[in-house]
Amino acid sequence: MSETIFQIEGINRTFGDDPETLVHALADINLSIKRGEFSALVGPSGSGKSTLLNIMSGLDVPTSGEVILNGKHINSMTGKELSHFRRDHIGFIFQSYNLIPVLSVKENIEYIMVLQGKSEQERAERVSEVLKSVGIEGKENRLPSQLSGGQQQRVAVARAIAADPDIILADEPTANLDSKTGAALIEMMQNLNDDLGKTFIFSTHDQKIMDKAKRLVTLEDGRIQNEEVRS
Amino acid sequence: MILKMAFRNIFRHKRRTALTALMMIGGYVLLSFSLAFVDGSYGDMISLFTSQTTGHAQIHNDKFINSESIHDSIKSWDKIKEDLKNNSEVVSFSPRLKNGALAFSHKKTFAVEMWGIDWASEPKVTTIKQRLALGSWPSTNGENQVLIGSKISEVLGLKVGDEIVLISQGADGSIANDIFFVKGIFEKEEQGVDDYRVYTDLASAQMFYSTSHIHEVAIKLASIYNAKKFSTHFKVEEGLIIRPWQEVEKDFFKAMEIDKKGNTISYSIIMFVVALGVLNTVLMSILERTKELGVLKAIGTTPGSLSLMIILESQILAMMSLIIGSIIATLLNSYFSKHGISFSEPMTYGGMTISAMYARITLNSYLRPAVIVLVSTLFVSIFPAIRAARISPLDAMREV
Ligand SMILES: Nc1ncnc2c1ncn2[C@@H]1O[C@H](COP(=O)(O)OP(=O)(O)OP(=O)(O)O)[C@@H](O)[C@H]1O
Ligand SMILES: [Mg+2]
Repeated sequence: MSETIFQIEGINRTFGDDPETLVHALADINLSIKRGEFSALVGPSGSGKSTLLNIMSGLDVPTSGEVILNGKHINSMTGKELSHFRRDHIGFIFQSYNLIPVLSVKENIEYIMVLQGKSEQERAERVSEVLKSVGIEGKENRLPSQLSGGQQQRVAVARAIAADPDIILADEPTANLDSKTGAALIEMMQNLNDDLGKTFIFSTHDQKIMDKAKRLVTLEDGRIQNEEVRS
Repeated sequence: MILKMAFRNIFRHKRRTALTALMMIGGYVLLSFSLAFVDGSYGDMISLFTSQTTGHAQIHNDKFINSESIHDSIKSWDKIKEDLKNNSEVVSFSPRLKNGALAFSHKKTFAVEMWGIDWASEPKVTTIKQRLALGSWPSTNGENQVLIGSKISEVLGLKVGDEIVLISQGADGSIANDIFFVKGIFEKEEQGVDDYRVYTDLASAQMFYSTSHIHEVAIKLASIYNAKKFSTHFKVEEGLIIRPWQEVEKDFFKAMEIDKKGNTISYSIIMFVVALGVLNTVLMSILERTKELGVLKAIGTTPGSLSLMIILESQILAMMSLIIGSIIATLLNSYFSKHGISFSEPMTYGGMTISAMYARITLNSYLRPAVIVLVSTLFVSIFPAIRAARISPLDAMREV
């Protein structure tokens, strides 16, 4: 049906030089992600979920293997190219919100678009659009510290989708939220996926949350144990 | 956006920012204030010094500078006089005939410098008239009237009204000797400029030396700070040379320059302390924001933009400090340019007595400290800026 946007081929990631204490965080991972997917990465602690997401975003470098986004190999990019790659293609949602404290809600959301050189008008339109879709209207000029955790994480989602990236990566986006707020956040992400076709991949420990995923990738000891597609 | 963030980051820690700004302001004011004083007191010294004898610029026969020979003279005085009169920069000028002579009185001899001057124009260039202690300032020419230095009067036992015989060699090779009349004696001072001089009028001196020429023209300008410019632009004929006081009094000028350089050390120490304080602040500010900088980098900010933000933060703070600092410095400097700081005991410097120091507001006393503060702030923020650029987003975000 839809095109493949992310292609991960034969990824290995080891930590440490000493053969005795060497950690195989990821071993022989092959994974492809299609546009419009809503995937969850699950597995016990230490199974390699964060490592895989970091490698996909270019924040971490695999020991071997290829990461290809839209036909581009990201392994061989320079620091600046990687910066631009993340800016233009990847949306991030972090576990602990990580909004910029000196910027208002509006400025946090438009930050990436400013880096991209989008016009003020385009940015303003986009900000009110995404604020509506994450359900935080009328708080544009507040600082992050004036919002609750759940609201901050919604702003973080808004920031991640504002510049219309190819994929949104979220490492345990609900870990810092109570289960109700967390469920609501995932529901909201799901709506963004259904209505706007945004591609998400997130890691989680929470059974209720993984139940919402359309595709479930289970990792164990750095290997893909199981893949399950639901409808 | 980077600028906006830099600006807001400055105000995150108000107390720390205020403290850093205070250091920058203090450093700037201290530098500006001491430079204003240096400029002021050196300016006073220079005008005092040049008003004794030298003037702001001098014209000679270029050979006279080394030979001091009676033959290496200025022959075209009339033309120079016209040029000087027509120049708007020139306030006053004075022609001089200069040569050595032997003074003889009460059976004693003493080697003296004989100066033929113009009674009317010389006091308009120098403070010679104020230095006269005994007798009166002559006004008639060609009557062999002389004013003598205190040393000469002491050694030869001369009083006002006494006669003095001067012996030398004329320009034509003949023996010059004549009787002169002491009309006045200069004040006694330690290493006074007039100690060994005998001043007479130009006509008497030219008669004595059998010449119609002069050797030196001393010029006073509207502003002493234009001496160099004036000397390069004022045209004198072939064989003559015009030099500003900095060249005429090379030794004095060099001594002052060395003195000024000595001050640089104390300025450097002030700036070093300020720079250390700023470095500390900037480093602290990036260490406590490691995670935030990591996030900025993760979501696509380039390393260069992060560096720029850190540098902008300290430069903005420095510029704000400079604005406040220059207001304070202006208040201080303008007060002390009027009131000065007087010494409990007058200080002598090269035969001049200085009893108070005044500040002088010059562009130099604002610009130089400003450049120093900005550049040293830039310098100490480069290292933290590079550090910020190199932050690894993963490491940064792992620290919670
Ligand atoms: N920087 C590192 N240095 C050394 N070992 C590391 C590093 N990062 C991860 N690891 C190791 O790699 C393995 C996978 O870690 P990872 O963080 O990807 O697991 P995870 O599935 O995200 O776990 P959790 O659910 O606890 O977040 C673990 O054994 C971990 O100890
Ligand atoms: Mg993890």
